[in-house]
Amino acid sequence: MRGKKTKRSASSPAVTTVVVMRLYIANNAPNSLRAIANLEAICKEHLKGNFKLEIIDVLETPLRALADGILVTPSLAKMSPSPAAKIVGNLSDKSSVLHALGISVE
Amino acid sequence: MKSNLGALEKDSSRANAGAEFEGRILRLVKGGPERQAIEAGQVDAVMDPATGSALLLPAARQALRKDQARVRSLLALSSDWCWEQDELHRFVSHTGAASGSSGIYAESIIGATLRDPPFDGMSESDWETHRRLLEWRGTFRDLELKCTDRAGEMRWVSVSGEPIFDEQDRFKGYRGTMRDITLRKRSEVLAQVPRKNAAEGKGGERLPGVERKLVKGELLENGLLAALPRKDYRGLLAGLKPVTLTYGQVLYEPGEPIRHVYFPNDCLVSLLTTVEGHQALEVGLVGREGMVGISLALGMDVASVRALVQGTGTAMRMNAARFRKEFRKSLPLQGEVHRFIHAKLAQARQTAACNRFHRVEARLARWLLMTRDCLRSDQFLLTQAFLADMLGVRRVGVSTAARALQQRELISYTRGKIRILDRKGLEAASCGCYEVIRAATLVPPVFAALLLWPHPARAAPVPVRFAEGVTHGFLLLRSAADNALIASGDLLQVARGTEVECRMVFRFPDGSVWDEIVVFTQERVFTMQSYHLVQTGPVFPEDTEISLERASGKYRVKTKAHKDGREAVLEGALKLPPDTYNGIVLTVAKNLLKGANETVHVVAFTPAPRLIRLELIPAGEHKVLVGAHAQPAIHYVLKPRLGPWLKFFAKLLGRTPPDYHAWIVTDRVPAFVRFEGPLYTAGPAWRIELTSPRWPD
Repeated sequence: MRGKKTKRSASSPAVTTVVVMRLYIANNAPNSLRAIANLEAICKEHLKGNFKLEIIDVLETPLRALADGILVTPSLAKMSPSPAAKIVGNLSDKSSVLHALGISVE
Repeated sequence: MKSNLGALEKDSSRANAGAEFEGRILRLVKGGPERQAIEAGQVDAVMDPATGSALLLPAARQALRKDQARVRSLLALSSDWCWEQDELHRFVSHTGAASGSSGIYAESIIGATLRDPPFDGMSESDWETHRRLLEWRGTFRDLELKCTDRAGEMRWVSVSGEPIFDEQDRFKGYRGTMRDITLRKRSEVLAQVPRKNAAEGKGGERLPGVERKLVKGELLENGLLAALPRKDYRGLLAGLKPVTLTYGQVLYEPGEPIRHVYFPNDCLVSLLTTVEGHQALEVGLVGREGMVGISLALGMDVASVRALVQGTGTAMRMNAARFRKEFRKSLPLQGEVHRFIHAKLAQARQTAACNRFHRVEARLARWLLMTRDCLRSDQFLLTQAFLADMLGVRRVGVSTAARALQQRELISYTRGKIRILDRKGLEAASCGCYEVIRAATLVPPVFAALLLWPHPARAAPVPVRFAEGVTHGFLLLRSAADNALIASGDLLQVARGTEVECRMVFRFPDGSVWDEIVVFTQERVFTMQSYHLVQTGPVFPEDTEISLERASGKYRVKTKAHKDGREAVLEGALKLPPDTYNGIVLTVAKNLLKGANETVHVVAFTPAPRLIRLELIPAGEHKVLVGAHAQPAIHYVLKPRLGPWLKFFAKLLGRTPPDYHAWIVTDRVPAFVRFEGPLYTAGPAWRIELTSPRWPD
């Protein structure tokens, strides 16, 4: 199943726009670490180099997260291209992450 | 939804969280997806807007605690101590596995800075460099320092630290680690002077004169050379040759040409003036803080004094021609040598007066302290005959004075071996001349540092409390004098990754345009990256296009006169401090704590660029009406601060820049409401206000 997906995404048209994302995490808490690992895997597979990711630790800069309207961590916010989207949790549900990022995998 | 809540409650109670905590979480998280994620155990923390902080869920808290414990134990493996300093860089805590067991470091470290005892050995210029780094809130690694342990032994430590900030991004001090590196340093020192140690070890005989007892962990290096920037030092290095100078060696005789200059590492050289028919009298003492052969730096190639080696040790030697060449080339070397010459002149002047007026006992105390400073050691060997020569008195006078100091338990003196027991006490016993001489050695570097680093470079950037994001504001430009509408405009702001582009445009009815684009970053602190301003049209005295880049300091100003269409371009580079905030002063004002003053910098284009300090001073609270509801707005006065010279010229030209005014609503989340001031040099005061879109009737 996994191999099949990879193959398909490789054959799908290359992503040309740069996806800008912010990942809000809580230091080294387990879900936060998992979210980073999951997102890294997804970016590597589907976005190649066409993304900008900023990781924000809410324990260090909570006001920043509040100003961005973040309620829980981990949360991933797609800033551009529009529409902006947000997904919460440790990003283990790959299909919903891809959906939120606007990456179509048939 | 109801069942979801139940599941959450069950989950939380399993994780041993109190009912109160659960209730709080439930109140905070109202959204469906968020609650689902919590139920699925995929959430670590929940944001609480009331406290402005993140609440860790029990599982995450436990995991982090374990994580911290692991980091702590790893830390204990790699360092000996952990420490924390307050805002003024004083130690407030100092803990570690080794602190109790090995008996290093008295409790006196609490409250001390790295400059105070028990730390030692940081030269004035080292300290200046370090302090500058601290002011910039930089991280430092492996700063190597000497320090005295509880038993009075010299030790070496390596200190690393990073700044700490609280949730509001206010600077709270530093924290870091410290390692005992005495053993490593000791072996380095032994490797550096094999010849000297071999000579001492083999013969086992004690050389006469001042002989230094090699203190464990002492780094043998000339302070004057060490104070030079790395680049300049490297330039000199090829011409420097390490030599060993032995007691009794005469480096120069008065009237003889100077062939070499010497930078002592751990030897001691006495400068003597000879008067016919009398014994030589010491007029100066040169140790690791200076150089021998200063006449060369003053343009004379003959010696004016006898330079006699009084303490065997090593020095770096350079031939006279090479030194003259390097001295002309290197500004820092000139600075250091001039500073040293100044200190030596002060020393000679003071010594002359001291020898004439002060008692032998006080003079002996002074001389011992000076020798201690030169050698950086509390123990040395010297004979009474030698001391008598140095102080220009008879031998009996010396022994009486030494006995008196010994009786007061300030020094111990047995068989030519002197040990300073109480430095503070000895300072009190010495005449005031010691303080004068020492002050002359210490003060100038600070002064030089002030000159080299004028105020702008000390400026600290403003921390980000509220990060900027996407904004589209509608603006009106009115005359401050009669409130007449002059132009309408937009504030367009977009964030791209860590960069934010903020554009403010005003369109005037006659086709004139004022268009400003600023790019800044907001990683912990606000940093303006680039600034671009275009003003064209009849409203302005001339068309102007300005661009400024902060990192390189490059600017370009293009003006075009309306009358004759003549163009002028000014280009160049300025040294810009990190808090140069052209175009984002209002953004910065929004991030100030209530009632806080701040000084930032802006480049004013007149059209020639001038870096000026701009002081943001809160000047009371005003009420603004939003609908029927009154909200408090803080009034800031933005005062340009000119240096004395600029002030003088500005007055002369009748162009003292006016104050600007800004009003910021600060109820929880700040918002800009009004700005007043000229938008171009010598322009009329205009007012920028917010407006809401209207529907055409």
